[in-house]
Amino acid sequence: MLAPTLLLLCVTQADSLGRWVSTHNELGGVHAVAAMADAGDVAVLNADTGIVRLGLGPEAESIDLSYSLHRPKGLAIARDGRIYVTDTGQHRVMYFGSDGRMLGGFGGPGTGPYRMRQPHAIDVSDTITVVADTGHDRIQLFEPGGKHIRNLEGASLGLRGPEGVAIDDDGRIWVADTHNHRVVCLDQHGSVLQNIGSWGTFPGQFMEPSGIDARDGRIVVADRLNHRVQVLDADTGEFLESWGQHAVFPRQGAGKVHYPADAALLSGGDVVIAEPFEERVQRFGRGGSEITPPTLAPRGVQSHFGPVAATDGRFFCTWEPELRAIHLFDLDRTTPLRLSTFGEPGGAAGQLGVLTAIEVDADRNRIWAVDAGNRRIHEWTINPPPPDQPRFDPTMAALSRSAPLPHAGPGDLARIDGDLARIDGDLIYLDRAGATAWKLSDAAQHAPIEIQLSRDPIAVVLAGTDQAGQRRAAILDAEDKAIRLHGQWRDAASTEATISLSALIDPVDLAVSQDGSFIVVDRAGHRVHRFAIDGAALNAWGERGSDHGQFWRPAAVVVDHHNRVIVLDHGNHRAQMFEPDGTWLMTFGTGRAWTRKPDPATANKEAN
Amino acid sequence: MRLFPTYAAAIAALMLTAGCSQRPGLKDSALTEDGRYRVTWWKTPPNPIKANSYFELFVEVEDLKTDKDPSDFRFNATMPSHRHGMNTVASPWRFKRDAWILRDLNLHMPGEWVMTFDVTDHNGVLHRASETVILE
Repeated sequence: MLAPTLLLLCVTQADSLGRWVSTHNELGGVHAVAAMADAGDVAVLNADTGIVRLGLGPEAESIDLSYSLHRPKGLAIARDGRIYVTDTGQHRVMYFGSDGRMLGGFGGPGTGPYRMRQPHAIDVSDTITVVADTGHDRIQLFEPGGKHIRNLEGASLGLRGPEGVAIDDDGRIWVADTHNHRVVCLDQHGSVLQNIGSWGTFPGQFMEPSGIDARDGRIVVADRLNHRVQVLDADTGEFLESWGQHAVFPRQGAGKVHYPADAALLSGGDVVIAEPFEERVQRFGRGGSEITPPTLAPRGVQSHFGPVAATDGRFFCTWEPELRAIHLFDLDRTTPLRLSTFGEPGGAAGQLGVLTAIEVDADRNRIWAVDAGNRRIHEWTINPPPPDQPRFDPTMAALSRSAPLPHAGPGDLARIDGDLARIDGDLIYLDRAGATAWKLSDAAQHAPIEIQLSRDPIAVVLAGTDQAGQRRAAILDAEDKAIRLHGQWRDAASTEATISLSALIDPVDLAVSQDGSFIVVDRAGHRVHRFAIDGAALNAWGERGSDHGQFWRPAAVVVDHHNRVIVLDHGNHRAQMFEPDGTWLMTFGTGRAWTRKPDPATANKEAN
Repeated sequence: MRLFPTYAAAIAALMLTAGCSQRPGLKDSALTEDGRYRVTWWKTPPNPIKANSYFELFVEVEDLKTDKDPSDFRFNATMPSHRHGMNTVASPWRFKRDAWILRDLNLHMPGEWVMTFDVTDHNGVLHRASETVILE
């Protein structure tokens, strides 16, 4: 039986789609790929710039659609060449001619039947247009002209933050049900035809499936947190194959897959995946070469720190999406020392879905986290060791409370992004999608704050006091690229001043240093900027790269009680610490840390 | 498969007939972390808990701040150092408005276990009490 088995293996490998064909770098935050009209090549959406590139070859045309988009995420190309884009920041779909001319749009913010909340994906066929209305946990069906047909939603369907959608050759709808870690096949009336997978790493299981495509009897899924692509049989749902593995070295390609966000199937069977973290797409297919497995142990810190962080006193918190666990560090050591790791994946009490914000209170020994996946705010009580007796303790944090997230009205329960801050003793939740600030209460009687916000508030911090001696909040506005200062926070917060960040590409987080200056991370610019409260640019540091002092899509920033700036260097899986003037101090993760070499003169002085 | 919890059911029957004053089994209690609820439980033998031995719990929940009944109660036990929980699923049976019976509980390994008692109020807020148990 050995020979037939080997033969079968050889045939299977030769027939595999998971053979590396090419890597296309320097494409920016490529969040979506879509097969073009003839399905022989792909269109690529750069979500940082709003530019769609038609094809991967050197002659490919680039079309700038940024004039009408804010944070685009999903892309589809119709048979007639029309370009459909989900405009996540403006909660709508826009479509364009192949020359980039805007032809129309549909959707818009709100809770009505055809309104949308942060739609992440779209697919079009000759008869229907399907939109993943991610923030409303539903799929919307439209006629090709944009007339709403129906929504596929409800408790029985139970979608949670679906980020991918595709129409197969038979008109069935395939959904990457991201926060449920599964793939669902629906008919056009919402009946479940297949329900595939659960959280996990085995073949056929998923960890945040985010992109999906269907063609010629195959389903291809971008399995984001497993750093791989999975292929399923469209008729049976059976697992066919998977490939991809996390890179050993930063930026490694040639088949190593890193947080794939989307996948497209071409007519010849090739698969193209988008990796916004790596700012590249990779093409796979039968004609490619075998992916060489890594042979060396991972180098560097390699901590999958997520895009949230918080600090207070000696504590620093962040989380690791792959583990669904929160890390608590003690910053008052030579290098940050991990005190505890707690949490696990799931929807039960104490389990974590997707964290979009975290906050810590060193005086009250509390940690809060916004769990967008489970639509809750969790609170833990921590029992830290004395500062002079640090130790790791997995039981250090005990869940004390877990409350539903605030919501603006019936049917509007989805909150897929937001920020937390403690201001004047209150815990403030900034709901990015709903553009609302809330004062949270222990009894879940959350109260909205009367404040004028832009459409895309992304981060809130305490920013000293205003001229009347009242607390001032600073809110980072991602749409207008500005910091708005709101004084008289306790009463009716008023806008005091605005600091323009127009020189930044993608400002995503904000912190305040002890001298009152603002630190802003520019994710797509791979850089950190510091501004005075009057808006003057003080200094900036960093560039794209993986060395100390360089960044790869930094996602969060905090300033600790020693006035050190800690940047979550998301794409490099590590945190870095700086002086406010940009001087690099150290790089750290959950296991290792690198610091500057001691200055010989200082060392000698200390020795004497 | 038993149709009804046995030992804990006896406790429940005793409560009904004896006015709740005398209950068999080892009694313990804990406050939720925020002090809202007191959770009291009676555990069937073996006492103390032995690794890989089945036991049952009779649990009472007292709201220390309002006179409203809890809307839900859940129990779980995990080993934080090993990042896993029980091999059995605890399904609480609401015996009366503020009391639950849990059966077929089994802490299957020696080591440090954390038992969690989750009380959900009528606003949907979950309040947790916990108790650490070390099995040899």
